[in-house]
Parts: sequence; C-alpha cells; structure tokens
Amino acid sequence: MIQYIQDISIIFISIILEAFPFIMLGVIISAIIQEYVSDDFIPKVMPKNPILGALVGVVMGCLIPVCDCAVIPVARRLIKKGIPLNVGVTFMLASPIINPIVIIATIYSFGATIPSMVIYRSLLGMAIAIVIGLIISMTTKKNEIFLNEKVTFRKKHIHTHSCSCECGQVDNNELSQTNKNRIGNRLIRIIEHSKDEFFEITKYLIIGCLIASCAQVLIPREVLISINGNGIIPVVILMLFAYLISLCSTSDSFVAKTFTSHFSNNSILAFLLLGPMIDIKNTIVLLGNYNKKFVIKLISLIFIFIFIVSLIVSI
Amino acid sequence: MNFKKQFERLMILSYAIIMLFVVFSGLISQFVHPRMIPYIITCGIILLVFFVTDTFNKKVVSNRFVKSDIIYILPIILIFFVNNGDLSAIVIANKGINVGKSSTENIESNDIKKATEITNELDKVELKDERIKIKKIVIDDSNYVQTIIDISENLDSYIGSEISFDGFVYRDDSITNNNFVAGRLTINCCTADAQLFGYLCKYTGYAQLKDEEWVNITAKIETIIFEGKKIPYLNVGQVKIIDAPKDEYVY
Repeated sequence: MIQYIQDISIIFISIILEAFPFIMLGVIISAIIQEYVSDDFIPKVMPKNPILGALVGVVMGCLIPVCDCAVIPVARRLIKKGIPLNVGVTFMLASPIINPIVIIATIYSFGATIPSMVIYRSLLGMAIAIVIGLIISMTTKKNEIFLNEKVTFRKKHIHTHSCSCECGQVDNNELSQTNKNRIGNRLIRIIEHSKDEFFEITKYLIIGCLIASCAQVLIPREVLISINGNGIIPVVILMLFAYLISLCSTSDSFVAKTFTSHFSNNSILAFLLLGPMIDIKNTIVLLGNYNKKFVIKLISLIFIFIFIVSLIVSI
Repeated sequence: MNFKKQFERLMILSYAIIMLFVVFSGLISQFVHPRMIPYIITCGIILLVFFVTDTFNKKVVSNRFVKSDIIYILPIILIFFVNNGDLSAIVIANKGINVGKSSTENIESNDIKKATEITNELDKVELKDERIKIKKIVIDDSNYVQTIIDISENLDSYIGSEISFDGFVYRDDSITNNNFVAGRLTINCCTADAQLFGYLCKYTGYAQLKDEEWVNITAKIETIIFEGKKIPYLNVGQVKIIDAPKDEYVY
C-alpha cells in the first residue's frame, strides 16, 4: 500500500514538475496577448471564410510551439480576444500534434520503422482538428462555451472594463493613456495576469495529474498486452489508455513505440492522435474553464473522429 | 487582505521553494529528464517573482476561499511521500519492459550512429590485438541505451561478444527457468514515461539474486527466440552485487 502511494507520488510530482514550466509558458503568452493585442486587431486580420480561418489556426499551431498543457490558456485567451471559435478549437487541438518538437520526436520513434506513422499523425491530426473546429463552431455559440456567465465580450468591454478575463484587474480606462502604456506598468499587468491564470489552472492541473498518476500505477500492463491483434478492440483500448495516462505529447511517441510488437499500427495511430488532443488531465483543466456541455461535445467529437479515422486508414 | 489571497501567496511561495529545492538537492533526477532543469529553475524563479509582486500589490480581491481550494496543498503533501525512493517493480511491470525486441528503440538516429561508432572503435582497438579474439563491450551511464539498441539491431555481429554493465534484477511471472532481466529505467521526459531497458539473462545462481538488487553483470551474448522475435540473451558468467548508483535512471 505504502509502495503504491510512493509510486503515485513520484509520478504525480514528475508530471507536475514537467507541466508547471509549460503551463507557465502558456499563461505568460496568454498575458502578453492580453496586454499587447488590441481588441480590434484580431477581427480585422482574421479571414471571414471559416476554412481559411481553420488554416490560420493550423499555422498558429506551428508558429506558437506549445504542448498540450500550455495550449489551453493560450487558446482560451485567443478565443476571448475575438478569434472565431472554429479557429480557436483547431488551434487548441492541432498545436500539440503539429508543433515541430512533437513531429521530431515522432520521427525519432517511428521514422525508421513505420515512416508513414509520422505523416499520418501530422496530417490526420490537422484534418481532425479542422473538422472538429468547424463542427463545434456550427453547433455552438461562442458566448455559451465559457464557464463563468459573467464573462463579458469584446463589445461590452469597451465600456465596462477592458480586461477580458474575470480576474478583477485594475480598470485600464481609469488610467491615463501614457501611464497605461508605460513599459513598467505593462510588465506588472503581465505578471499579475500570468499569476492569476497560473494559480487558477493549477487547481485543475493537480486534480488531473492525480488521476493520471493513479491510472499509471494501477492499470496493469498485462491487461493491455493480453489484447492482441487487429480490429476495433485494440483501437478502443489504446485510445482509452492514451486518455487516462495523460503523457506529454512530446514523449508519447516513445511510449507508443513499445506497443509496436503487440498492437496493430492502426491502434498505435489512434493512441498518437488522441493523447495530444485530449486526456484526463486536460479534461479537468478544460472543465475548470469551459462549460460542461462544450467539453463533453469536444471530447465526444475527438473520440468519434479518431476512432473512425484510425479504423479506415491502412498503415 | 483576505484569507484566499494569503493562501494563494503561501501556495505560490511553496511551489517556488519545492521546484528550486528539488533541483538544488539533486532530487530532480528521480523525476524528470535533466534537460528539464533550466525550465524548472526558470519556472521557480518566476513563481518567486509572482510572490514578490503580490506582496507589494494592494489590490482588493473579491475571490473567496472555497473548500475545493484545499487541493492546492496536495503537491506539498505528496512530495513527502516520495521519500527518496525510486519506482517500484509494480510500476516497472506496468510500464512495459524492453529486452531488445523491436529493431529501433526510443533513440535519436544520430545517437545510434554515435553508439555504432563507439562500438566500432572498440572493435578496431580490440581486433588490433590479435590475441584477444573476444570483443568486450563495457556499458556505462552515457552509452547505455545506445549500446543496447545497437546490439539488438546488429545482433548477429555481436554473438559471442562479452558484455559488462550495471543494472538491477527484475523478475515477473513471465520470466522463468533461471532467467531474469537485468536492466535500468530510462526516461525520455519524466518518470511518467519511464521504461525498463535491459537484457534477458540466464544465470545458474539466479536464485540467490534478490529482486531489484543492483548488480554488475559480465556475460556472453547469445540469442533466443522470445515471443516470436530473436533477442539478445545473456549467458551470465559473473554477477557482482553493487550499491545502487546515485542516479538510478539513464536518459
């Protein structure tokens, strides 16, 4: 028993130590966007066509190299700043798969043995992210997705308070223009925004990491390995496994590599696609930011699409 | 200043102290890959900055402390349960064991090349000395994974070579008949992705070995068909019981 607690603690602290710097990166990028990107800027530059918008989401995913922990605060900030919902969702789902570090890690793991895995992971990840982004934006209104009903949007902001998070920051409009833009003041606001967001996310991260570390210690590998062969079952099992163990998207391909002797390539593809898009840790963090209906819809879509795609593709 | 705010400051300070303490006490190697160290230090320092800025910030916070906020204390409690130990065999089994089954393992291609070069150099040196016909491979922390991969990839050319390395003894129900696995845990990112990398070994005195005991093994490389694949199989000549290395993982 005590051994279990110790193992869970080690893995829990490991995931926390690993996630904290990336969450920090995410909240700082988010705070910088909040401070420097004006409320009018994004609607002005964003293409009106949703497909073009989705491609912008993909390109942003490449350019802002954040992993699956850091992407949540950044995506949330961008959506609140006025990017279309489909672009935000596409960015959130695609970024952890198509960022250069993850692609390189996948090449290291599969480049020599199953090179098509790298291509399928990146391209299908992108495609699924775009499709889910479009479906979500067609079926959901943007102001319905956030948890806090009090959140006001861009238009209201101009005369309520100019901070698009519910963090109770100083009302910028009360400050004189020169004062507001002084670099020192900006820095302090960035620090305060980052701190508030970091602290807020940490709570959900801790719960998510706890569940993930328990899953890692308590799910016996034999159960996994006993499920051999092809077909639907291994795909489902590896998707659930990816969801529960919540590995970082930069290292999941190394773990996936050890499955190659026991699992079909299709199920490994499912594992590699699902882990970066959603896992138990990020589900908890999402539930802390968005309303339940939106999160459930998002997760169901991810599961359904990855399941179908992984069964159709032949590698 | 309300209780929530005080609590928040205390937690941020504690997290900062934990992150910096873990790095500077060297405990970090139990948790994550060393390349994470600069990021963890930076994160710890930023948390300290948060704490200091917050101290001078007079702004009023409307947030109230709710019961679920107690969850913030969890990492501070759990770090005391870590207790200087490494992952136990239970977890190792759950994480999967690697005994050189698949052809290219978790490794960067240029590292493989490097390993090959190293071993090739070794070969050359030893082949020059005609009296020593047996190639001898000594594995240490720096070339551990690379050499294992190199051997499993070019297995045929290594048959009969002598190999010497440190590792711990691992046994489970699937490993029987004088056999055990000697290996080490490798980490790519953090212990969440730790995997056992080692060799299947044959040793007549295996009953005297204890599970998870650290040993230095000198053995001759043979092969065996294991679960349908040809893998290296070490015929162990000599086992020396050693102290666990300071850094039990290889990266």
